[in-house]
Amino acid sequence: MKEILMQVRDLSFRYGKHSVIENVSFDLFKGDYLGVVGPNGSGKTTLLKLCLGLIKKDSGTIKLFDKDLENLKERTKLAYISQKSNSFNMGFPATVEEVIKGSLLSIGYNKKDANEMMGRALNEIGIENIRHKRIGDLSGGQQQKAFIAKAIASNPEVIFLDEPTVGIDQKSQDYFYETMGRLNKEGVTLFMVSHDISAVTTYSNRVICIGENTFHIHEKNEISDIETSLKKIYGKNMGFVTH
Amino acid sequence: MLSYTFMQRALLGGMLVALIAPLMGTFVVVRRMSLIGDSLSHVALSGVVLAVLLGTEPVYGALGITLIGSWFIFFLREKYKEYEEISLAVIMSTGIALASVLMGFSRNIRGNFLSYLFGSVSAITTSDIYLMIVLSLVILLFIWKYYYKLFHMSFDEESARAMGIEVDLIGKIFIFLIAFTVVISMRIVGVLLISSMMIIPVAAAMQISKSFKETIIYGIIIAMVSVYGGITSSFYFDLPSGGSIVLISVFILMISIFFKTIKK
Repeated sequence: MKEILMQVRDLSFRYGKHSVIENVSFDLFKGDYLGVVGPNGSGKTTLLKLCLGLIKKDSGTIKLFDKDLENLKERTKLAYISQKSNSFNMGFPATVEEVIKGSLLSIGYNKKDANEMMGRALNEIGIENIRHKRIGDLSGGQQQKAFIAKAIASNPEVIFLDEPTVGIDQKSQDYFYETMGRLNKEGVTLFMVSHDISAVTTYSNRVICIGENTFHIHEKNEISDIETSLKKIYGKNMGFVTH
Repeated sequence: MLSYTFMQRALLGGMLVALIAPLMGTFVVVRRMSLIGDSLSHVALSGVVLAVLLGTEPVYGALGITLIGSWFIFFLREKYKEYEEISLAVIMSTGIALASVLMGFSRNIRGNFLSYLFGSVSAITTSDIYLMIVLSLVILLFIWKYYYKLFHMSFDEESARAMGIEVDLIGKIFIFLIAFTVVISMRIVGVLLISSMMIIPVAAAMQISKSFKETIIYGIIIAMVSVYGGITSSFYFDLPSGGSIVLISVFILMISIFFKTIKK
């Protein structure tokens, strides 16, 4: 039997009078690569932020590692790669090394461990050569690699990804999905929100299709069910390609 | 120049400003909070006038009022979550309005008013210096203890929150410390120019630094050069210290932009 990492039950959230998430229930299992797709404004990012506790739910329960999200102490087991244009401060005058090491020191690691963990992460992502460069001076692809290195440096059990490939070229996107696939095989659980239906259906083992008043969760091999759900939420055949 | 006690006080106070303002300013700039310094400095003015009316030390009045102003910023930000700058505009206007109304009740303040607006080296008292030292120590202690958490939340607040950093608490304490910085800087650079001491040396440092730590260190060095130059010129040419300090820091900023441009 699969180990449940996150249990979401009857989750609801409203923006003013508009219901964004309504009575949603699902589980995230250890080792999952869970993809969430849906049109703009369907509540994908809201769902992810609710699951991380970044915004407060109106009702329902979210348990992570068998504890209520509100009382969760083991937050260092989580990592978050957000849609960079919305969240990261790109003009930040810090080097890649400072960003990665700083995030480790901020969550309680000592300098010796932080140095070792950073070195491993830079090595794993292959960006040793840019460690002393300022993050704002890097290309989009290099920045993305730095953010992945920052996310994996603390050896998280779950990585939450919000539109992680927006604004980066195809080569960097391919590298990104390849790296995430490798991490997933190594046991890291992934929860990814994306507008890229083909990428989600290709790389994820389970897919959430979310739309207005619609929420379906499918196993990857339920292709015809995924197609039906997507047709329902987008209002047309999406013709996605799985690789 | 240093044979005068008031100049010794001015230089000691100036060096504290040059240490604290860019240190706090680096985080203020990267967290895009520059307007908060401006808002609280205008609130400080009303505290000065109120203290004169009550017959107490102006810096204590400024400290009390800026802390209350900080609390009102939190309060209004909660009410206008989508439009946080509204809280700053309201606080800034309230500060100026309160100062102007209170001035109607006080004749004593008017003669010294320019020194509060633009700074004055001769007006710094020993009591001011003591308070500046205590507030500076509180800020240094906070930055030393929370440097990396502040760093993480400045770079990516959502990621920091997701990883369990107490973003709201640290953010609130940080705003109180901006109020402290305003009070520390008030007598040297003047209420109207306080935020420039938090911003301009950091802006110049960002042009030439290669890392976050270098930005802080260069910012402090640039501020120290500006403060020393400004206080010295203020003494010899009888100029307002605040304006002199800020003009020197702007000159350094222009040079740093020039060199960065030709380097490209």
